[in-house]
This record gives sequence, structure tokens and C-alpha cells, in this order.
Amino acid sequence: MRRSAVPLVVALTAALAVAETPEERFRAATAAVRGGDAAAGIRAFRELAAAGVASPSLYWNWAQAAAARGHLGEAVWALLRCRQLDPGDGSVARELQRLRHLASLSPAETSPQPLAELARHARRLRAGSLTVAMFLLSLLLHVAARRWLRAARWPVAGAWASLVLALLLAVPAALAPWAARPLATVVRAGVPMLDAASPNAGILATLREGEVVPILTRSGPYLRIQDSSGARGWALAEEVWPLDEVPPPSAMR
Amino acid sequence: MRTTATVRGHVPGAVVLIALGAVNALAATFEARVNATRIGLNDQLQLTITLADASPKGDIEMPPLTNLAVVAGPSVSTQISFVNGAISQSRSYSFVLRPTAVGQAVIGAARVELADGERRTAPITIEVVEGSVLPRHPPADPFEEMLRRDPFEGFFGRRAAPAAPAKVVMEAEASRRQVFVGEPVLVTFYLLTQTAVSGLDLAEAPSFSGFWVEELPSEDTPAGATVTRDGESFQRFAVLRRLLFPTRAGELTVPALTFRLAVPRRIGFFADPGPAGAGIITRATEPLSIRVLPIPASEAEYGGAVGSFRAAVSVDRSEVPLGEAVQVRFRVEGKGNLKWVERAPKLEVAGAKVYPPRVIDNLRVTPSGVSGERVWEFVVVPETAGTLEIPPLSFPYFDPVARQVRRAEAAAVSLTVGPPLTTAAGDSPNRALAPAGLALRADLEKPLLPSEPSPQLVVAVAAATLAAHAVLLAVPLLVRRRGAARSHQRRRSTRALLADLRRARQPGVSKESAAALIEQALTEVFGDLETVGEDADETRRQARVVLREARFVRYAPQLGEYREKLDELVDRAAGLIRRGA
Repeated sequence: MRRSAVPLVVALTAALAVAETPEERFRAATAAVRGGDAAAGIRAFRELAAAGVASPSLYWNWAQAAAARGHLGEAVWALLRCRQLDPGDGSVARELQRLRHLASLSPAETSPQPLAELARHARRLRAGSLTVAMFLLSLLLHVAARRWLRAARWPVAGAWASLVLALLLAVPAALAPWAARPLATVVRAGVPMLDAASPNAGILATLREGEVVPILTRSGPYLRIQDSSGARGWALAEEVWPLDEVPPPSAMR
Repeated sequence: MRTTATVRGHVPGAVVLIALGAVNALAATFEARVNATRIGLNDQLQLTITLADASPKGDIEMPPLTNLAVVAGPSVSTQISFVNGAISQSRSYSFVLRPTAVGQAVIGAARVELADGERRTAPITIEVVEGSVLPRHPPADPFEEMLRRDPFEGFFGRRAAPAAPAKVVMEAEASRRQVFVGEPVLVTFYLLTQTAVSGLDLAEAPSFSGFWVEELPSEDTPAGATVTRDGESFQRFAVLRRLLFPTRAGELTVPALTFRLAVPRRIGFFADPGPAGAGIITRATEPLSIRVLPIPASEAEYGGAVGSFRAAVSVDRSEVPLGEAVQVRFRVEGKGNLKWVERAPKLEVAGAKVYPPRVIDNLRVTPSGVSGERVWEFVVVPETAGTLEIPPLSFPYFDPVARQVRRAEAAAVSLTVGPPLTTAAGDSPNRALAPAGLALRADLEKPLLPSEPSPQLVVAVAAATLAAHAVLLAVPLLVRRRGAARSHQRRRSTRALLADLRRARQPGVSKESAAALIEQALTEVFGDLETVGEDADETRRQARVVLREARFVRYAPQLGEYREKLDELVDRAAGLIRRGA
């Protein structure tokens, strides 16, 4: 079995090297993961993501490959990225729940901010588009009530109703994403939370792999974060990956 | 009990009252005394003027001084005695005098007016010579007299011989006079006393230059011990202890510490326990010299630690899955200056990432030194599976007993790093993943929500929409309000203004008022007629002519009757208004 796997992996790696378009590179990387070289597949996924390819399936496969390597934190990070791109995907939610059980994490440790959750649900429900549509509808009805349908009362009522609905939707669609802090995922076990952004800093605590933490600020390669117990400290961005960034090659294992 | 205390408390007062009533019965004396009649130019002379058994009518007149100057005084003291039923009272005025030149000095007669006449003291002649001839005394302790005085002296004729003054001194004592750098020296400050001391504190904060100082807790009730100094017996109490660690070699000095002590003025039943009942004296210790030997090794060799230590390494678990962390504890235990040691031992583990350690101290300061343990807790994250060895760690220190650098060794520890807990397959290319276990997607899908507006866009749309709604609501209101105002103005032009013109015809209306009504009516209908150009329509041009004629009549002098002219203008204006409206 092992003898047969080695040529297969070599062939897949070679295919990965010659792939040109993002789709080809994605398929080659997926084939590498399926063929057993999860590390090479993840490297290719990272390069695609760094090149600006934002696809739910890319991060889904990345999460699968990372989970297969036992890198639960990295898998959680990739799934959260996937969910950002496709908030309505139920399989992502199920997979996240599975990983959370594997990592013995509570829901609060992967959803540290209610505002971020609200923003995510708003995105899943396309509250932004709905809000804009409701605003425009209210304006259209208002103009109609003034210009063409003066006798009718329903345009006025419709304009008010759509305006109120638009204002209600604007809270999760616009205000929640603004108010929520950016998030990051702990991608390694035993990542120390430091008391300063320095290589010589003391250790305050250790972070749990897969834990999602809000980012308070950033200083060079360090992130100031807050863990689920409320403790605040610094951690290396190579070990705690922000959700809105693609990790650098040096952060890969 | 309460009654008894009250009677006792009144006893001294009763004695004083009796004394004051009886003093006039005795023969009065008024005298001046000096402590020497031959003094040196550098000496000081004590003059005491005493008035006994008499009540002066006024102030005592001080004696004139020749070749003498007052240095201090007068200090006044009063004494009441009760001898065989007879009460005597005296009051003394003491001066300290200083001669001003060699030769003769004279203290003239002091004078006082008594009930039975004037009294004078005898003049005193003093011989002043060069230098100093009086015996030198140590500086007077202000409490010497106080400590010696018997509170019941003078009562009932008891005049005991003066007792020796009680002594109070402070001493400093070092546990060792020769140590190595970093070795502890216990310095104890003792109070040696022959009397009660009700309070003690440092006059100034001590500064132990060249030493690292550790405070030792002081005893709440220090136990006293009887000691002998110069043949005299003292009670000795340890009042302050400091553990000093020399930081450099050489002759170091523990400086003298000055203490303030509160000594009760009276001891016994009538003693006042409060601050008012105590006097403050100061006492200083003697400086101590400590010889500090240099350590015969460089600090790089022994790391700054001096003492005697043991070391051990432990891990929180011996088997760990790959990707999880292990806590490695390097524990150093013993007695010495562990607080100085800041540098963490260097730990490098092949195949693992080592994070900077956390330092945990459990140290106690005792009179014999600092003892306890310091633990450096490292977080080690294995990066490869297999056996991981934590290398032996050592802690160098200087042993002052053996006078050499030693190393506390901790043995190596082995860890077994297993596969990751959740790994369905390894990350090695040689270990194939189970394809059935991975739900991989085949196509690179585009994001499903590429056009979802950003929060900024939503806010911008909201603001623009609300502004548009506001405009849509406001414009009709403004238009309606303006229309209402204009229609009101028109109605007034067509009806009320013609009525105004009719009012201008009425008798009794002055030419000025009538002309003003015409002018107002024309202006309200046609606007500002002065700006009407020649290209305006005929009606407006005629209105301008009427307006000017009306103004002429309005401002013309009252030289004749203008009624006909005004009627004509009213008719013409009414016609124009009807046409213009």
C-alpha cells in the first residue's frame, strides 16, 4: 500500500506544480489532499487565498485538510473563513460543531462576540441588500404618493412601513459589523498569552487550540487579544490567525 | 472605687491650696546665687535668683549685669514643701550668663516688692580669666533631671539623696563582620534601657548604601534580656532587624541610626500614659563596619546566586499528543540570595518550541537568610512525534562555605510525543489520507454573496434616503405655505385695498394719510414701482405716475386744498388696481 502511494503523491505534487489557472491549481491541490499530501494541498490553498481567490470551497477543503492533519485550530479558522464567504452554508455550521466537540470547546469559545454573530446572521439573511432595497422602495413609494397616486393612501403607508423596516434591518446590517471587533483563531495548542508584545515577555496563560478570540489591537507580529475568561494579553499572529487575513507562509506548519 | 480615685486625684490640689494660704506666715527670703565666682572667658555662669515664702506685689526686677551677657533664661521653677506641718514655697529664676571680657564682672542687686517692703539681693562679683576654668560636663541631657527626680520628693519632708539618672542607649549588632558579596548579614538594633520607654521610632529613614536590604518582621512585644554595660545593668530589647546582602566587595558601613524615644515623665500610679506625659529623647547607634569579600569567580560563572541550592526538573505529563503543550518546571530550592537571580536557565529542546518561562517564587525571609524555592515554568510544544528529551539543566551558584562555584544539577527528562489526538491520517506524504473520511469539494465556487453591500454603503443609502424623504416632506409644506400667503395677499389687494382707497376719500383724513393709503395700495399690488423700467407694461407705468403724484401731494406744504387732487388719484389708483389684480 505504501509503495503504491509514493508514486501517486509524487505525481500529484508534479500536477500541482504545472497547474496554471486558479481552478486548475485548486483541483490539483484538492487532489493532493485526497491523495494524502495534505501539507502540499494546504500550501497551495494558502497561495490561492493570498492571490485573492475567495471561494468557500477553497477554505472548506483547507479546513478538511487541516483537520486531517490534526490541526484543529487551523481547521476552525478555515471554516470560519468559509462561513464568511457563504454564511448560509449549513454544512459549515455542522462541521464547526464537530470540530468544537473534538477540541472540547464550548460554543462561547468559538463565538465570543454576540455582535459578530448578529452581523453574521444579517449577512446570511442578506440584510444589507434588503436594507438598501427597503430604503429605495420607501423613497419610490413616497415619490409616487406625492406625484402620481395622490388620491391613494396605500403608497404613503407602504413608504412608512418600508422605511421602518429598512431602519430596523440597518442595525444588524450596518451597525453590528462596525461595532464588532475583528476575530482571530488560535491555531496551535498551548499558545502562550504573553504579558507584553515582546519575545522576552512572561506568560499569563495558555490559549486553547481552536478558541476564537477578539483582537483588541496589533503591534508588529503580536496581537492583543482577550480570551474566553476575559484575560487580556498578547499572542503571536503566526499562532493566532486573524479571520480577515491570509496567514503568511512562515505561519504554516 | 470611683470615690477613692476622686479623693486621690484631689490630694495634690489640696496640698497646693493649703500651701498658698500658709506661705505668708513664714519669713520671706530673696537671694541670688551663682555656681562659681571665678570663671574663664570661655565658660558659662549659672545665676539663680530665689524668692521663698513670699508673694511679690509685682515683677521681680532683674539685676544689672556688668561684663556679662545673658545666654539663656530665665527659666522658672516653683517648689512647695510641707515639713512638720509647716508649708514653704519658693520660686527660682535661672539664667545662663557669659562673660564678655577678661576682668571683673558684677551681678547687681535684684529687687522685689513684697507686702512688708522692698527686698534686694546682694551684688555678686565674678572674676573672669582667660580660657576656661570650670570643669567640663557632658552635654546635659534634658531628661537627666527628669529621670532622676522623685515625684514625691518634697512631700512629708522627704528629701532623699539624688538618685543616679536612668540611662537609655541604642546599640547595633551584626551577626557577622566578614561575608562574601551576596551573603546575608543580620543587623539587629537594640534598645538598652534602665527606665520605661513608651514609644520608639526612627528619626529618619535608614539608608544602607551598598546593601540589598530585606526587612524582617519586628516582634509585637519584644522580649527583654538583662545585659551589663560598663558595670551597669540594662534591659535589652531588639527593636529593629534588617537582613543585609552586600552588593559589592570592600569595607561597607552600616550607618548609625537615630531613634526617637518617648520616655514617661512619671512612672507609677500618677503617670500620664498619653503623649503629654512623655518626653522625647533621641539616641543613635554606632556605625558598624562589615568586611565584604569578593567572590573568586566571574558573575557569568555563578550567575549571581550565593548560598546553597538544589535543583530539579519535572514535567506535567510524560506522554503528550503532537501539537499539545507540556509544562516543564525547573525548580531551585535552598537558602541564599535567590531573589537576585533574574536570569532564567537556558532551555533548548530539539524538536520542540520553547516559550519564555514564567517565574514562580516561594521565598521566605528569615533571620538566617532567604530560603525557599524559585520555579521557572517553561511551555514546550513538541513539533515532532517520538521521544523528546528535556536536557539536564543546571543552576550555578557560589557556595560561601566551600568558597567555590558549584552547580545544582537536574537530570534529563524524557517525553513521549504521540500522534495528534484527532488525526484521521498523518501529515506525512507517505501516510495516505483516507479519501472517504474527507468531504472535499471539487469546484472552486465563487462567493455566493459578492454583491452584498458593505456597512458603509448601507449607511450612505440610509442617510441619502432619509434626506430625500425629508425633502419630499418639506417641499410641499413650503409650497403650500407660500401659496397660502400669496392668496391672502391677493385677496387683500382686490378687496381690502380698494376699501383702503375708499377710506382715503373720507372727510377728516389728512392729505398725508390719504396719500399714504394710495401709495401702500399701489405698492402692494405692483411691488416696487420705482424700479419699473420704460419697457414695463402700460398699467405699471401709469401706476408709477400715480404713485409719484401721491407722494408729491403727501410731502407738499399745506398751501391749499388737495381734496380734489386726492380724489382724482384715488380714482386712478382704484382703476389701476382693478386692472392689475
